[in-house]
Amino acid sequence: MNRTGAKLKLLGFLGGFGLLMAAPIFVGAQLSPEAAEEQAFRLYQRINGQPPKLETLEAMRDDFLAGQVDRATFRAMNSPSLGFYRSTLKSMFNALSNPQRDETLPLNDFSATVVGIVRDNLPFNKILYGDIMYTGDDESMDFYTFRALPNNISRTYCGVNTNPADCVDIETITFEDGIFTIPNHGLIDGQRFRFLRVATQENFLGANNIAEVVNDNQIRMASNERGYFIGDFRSTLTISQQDVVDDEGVILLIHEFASLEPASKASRNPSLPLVRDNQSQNNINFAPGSPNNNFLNLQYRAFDEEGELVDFREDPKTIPLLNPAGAASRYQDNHHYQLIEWFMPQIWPSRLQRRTQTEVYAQVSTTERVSEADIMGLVTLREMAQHNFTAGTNRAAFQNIMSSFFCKNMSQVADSSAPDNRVRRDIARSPFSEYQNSCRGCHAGMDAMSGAFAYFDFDANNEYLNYSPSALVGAPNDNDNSGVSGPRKQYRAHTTYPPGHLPTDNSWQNPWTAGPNIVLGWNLPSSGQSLQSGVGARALGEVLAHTDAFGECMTRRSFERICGRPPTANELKELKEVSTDFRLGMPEYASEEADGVYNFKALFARITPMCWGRLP
Amino acid sequence: MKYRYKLFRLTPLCLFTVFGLVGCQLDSEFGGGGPHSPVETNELDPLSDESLAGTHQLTIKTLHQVVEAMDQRTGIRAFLPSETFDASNPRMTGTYTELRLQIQNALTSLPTSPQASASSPSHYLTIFHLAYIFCRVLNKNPEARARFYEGTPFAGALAGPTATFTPENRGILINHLLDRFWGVRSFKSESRLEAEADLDDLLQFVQAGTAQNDFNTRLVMRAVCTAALGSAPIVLQ
Repeated sequence: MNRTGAKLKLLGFLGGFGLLMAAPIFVGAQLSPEAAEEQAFRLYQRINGQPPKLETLEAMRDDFLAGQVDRATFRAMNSPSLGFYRSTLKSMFNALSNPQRDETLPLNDFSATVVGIVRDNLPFNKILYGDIMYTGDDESMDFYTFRALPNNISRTYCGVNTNPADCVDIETITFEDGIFTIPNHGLIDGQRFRFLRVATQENFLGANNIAEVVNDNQIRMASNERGYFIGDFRSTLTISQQDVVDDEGVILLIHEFASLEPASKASRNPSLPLVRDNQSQNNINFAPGSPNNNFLNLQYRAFDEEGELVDFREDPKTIPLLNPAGAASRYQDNHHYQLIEWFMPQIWPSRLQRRTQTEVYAQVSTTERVSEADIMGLVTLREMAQHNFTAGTNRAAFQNIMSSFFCKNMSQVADSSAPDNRVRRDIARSPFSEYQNSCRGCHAGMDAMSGAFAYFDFDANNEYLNYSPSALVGAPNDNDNSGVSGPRKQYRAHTTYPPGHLPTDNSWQNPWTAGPNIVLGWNLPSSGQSLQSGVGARALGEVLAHTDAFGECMTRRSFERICGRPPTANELKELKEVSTDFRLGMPEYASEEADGVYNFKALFARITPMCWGRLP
Repeated sequence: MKYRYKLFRLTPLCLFTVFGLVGCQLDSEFGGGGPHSPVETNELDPLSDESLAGTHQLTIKTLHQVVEAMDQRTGIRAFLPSETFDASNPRMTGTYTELRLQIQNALTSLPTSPQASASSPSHYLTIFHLAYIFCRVLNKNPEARARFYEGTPFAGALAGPTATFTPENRGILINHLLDRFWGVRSFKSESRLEAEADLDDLLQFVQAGTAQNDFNTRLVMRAVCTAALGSAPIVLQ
């Protein structure tokens, strides 16, 4: 029995298992095949969240034995299970999207975009300035899902060509595997039918379904003009003693001969099929995982070319990101991403498609769309924007950037020697000593740089991002003074210190290129963007994204994820070199297509040997 | 004491014991913070103990990772129903729906903080409950049981506990569970033998004195399954 085995015998099975994973490791010892396999097993789980398949395990073991732990890491990251993206990356970066560091959030635009950038080997620092976002791919946006709450509202079924007002009650509508059982339905083959909302007579599904009669009591929705029919998420649904209703009214089944026009024809950009035609927003108010799980999930399903039902679980679909209807035509929620995760739980990372925020915001029917100059990677995506730009003065955005992407809280970067010409009017200067010692250090830099966010305001009530470049005109008035939200919130408390700075545009200054914060390592972006000043959030993001501190923070966070602990002082020195390689690119990983600058997978691979691959 | 381990039996209690040692370990190393939840006020402070250099630290999977591991290892595939979901079988439909709803409820009841020290009680109970949910499906649903226990005496009709759990069959059951849940090559032989002995003790303890019917046989199978599935190899990484 070898020494490790003896320990296990003494300590008990699982205790020993824990010891194997946690015991201090003497650097430099060679791994036995058995130990290499154990470490490969654990590393794969660390990266993917689940055990490996045997062939993967063996290949990783051989990598360990060959001293190529980085190759084993790539093998784990490239696993078809996609666990690296689905669990590790998603949770790691979910935590950075919110001040509470909650990594259990559902998939959202923030985490989906991180996953997409890493998957596609794009420069990772674009998360701070890229006009980029990932959504579901085009093919995943053909279906609609809506929430329907069971309710005891009268059941009504309408006969052929009847006025909806003349509908008669029925007791049950059973829907199973694509077939509606409706006693004495009266339909004949080829008849069109649709769903209506009783209260408004509004066309609910926006498409005419064509009935295929199975028998006197059963019909199948053979097709509609999109080739889909409505189906049940669970394939079997019995609606008994209750109707299917949405948040606003009762949904009924009705059929008729006449061809019906779609309820609405929303305009869309043909090059960006994010927005579906004739789709009511009421159809898509669906929140998987919400506290109210008393819902039934109905969903369109498709036929293939031969008329066979296509199982949506093999060809999953979800709703588009944007809704075309009226005021809701805003980037209003992240349900799109929740549905991607809900319907494509195993494969969603492979179904993400790169788009630009400019494209998406171009679909938003607000009068003032986010300018390209103010698009700042993850910072202006909805998930983080709600934390950055709700109420307040948008200083939170800068604070959150420092915390999430620089691993620094404001007290760590406070610099009372920085010029305070940009400290705003809402900061009291009296008593001066208190201002100088407690306020100026943070506000001198924070106020100067967060000027880039002056046009943003996240409407917490309606849950969308407002962008108002024309709002900051005219002298501030008394109403502005007490305002805490809205486009003129930059003027709040402006009477506190009237000589202070008054934001009137989205210009910013960076006072930290001199003084103690020079240690952040300011590197000139290739675009030539000035480090000292600029206009718009994108320009600021570009400057921040090229600092040494950004790379060091991402390196540090990756180390903790891979190694499960903070680095030691000596390891920190090594990590500084790793972060430099991260910034400049690692050509040795060209075979993995990970040799570009700021390649995140290369960063993981480079870090892993620092704490894996050695034994007592 | 930097690391605290203790011998324990492979019963549901082992889950708590495992987490107990993990929590103790994390607390001692990081002042209560979890491995990927650095303390914000001193985020860049390095560890003072250089003896830890070159090592990796035991961590706890996220709940989603735990579910996925259980999902994969049981073959239930709660997150990809098409593989086992048979719409023509109402029992399967009902079981699947129940499983999925319970998982959703478990996941939505999680604490928002990933820190091991902050999530201890509900985290541990949730993981154990998830193992129970999966094992309940495996042993309650005939189709799922037949699929999971294919090639063993437990795939078809079952007799009472005494008739079913002969010494030979106990070994078959336990080996089957360990092979499926932990993998055939993931652990040293000594560890495997200890686990087998623990599970056998549990099995005999649970079945003792129970009525001789197939319901109780499935209950015993569920208990052993839960103990194996809710244990460290599935939960830790």
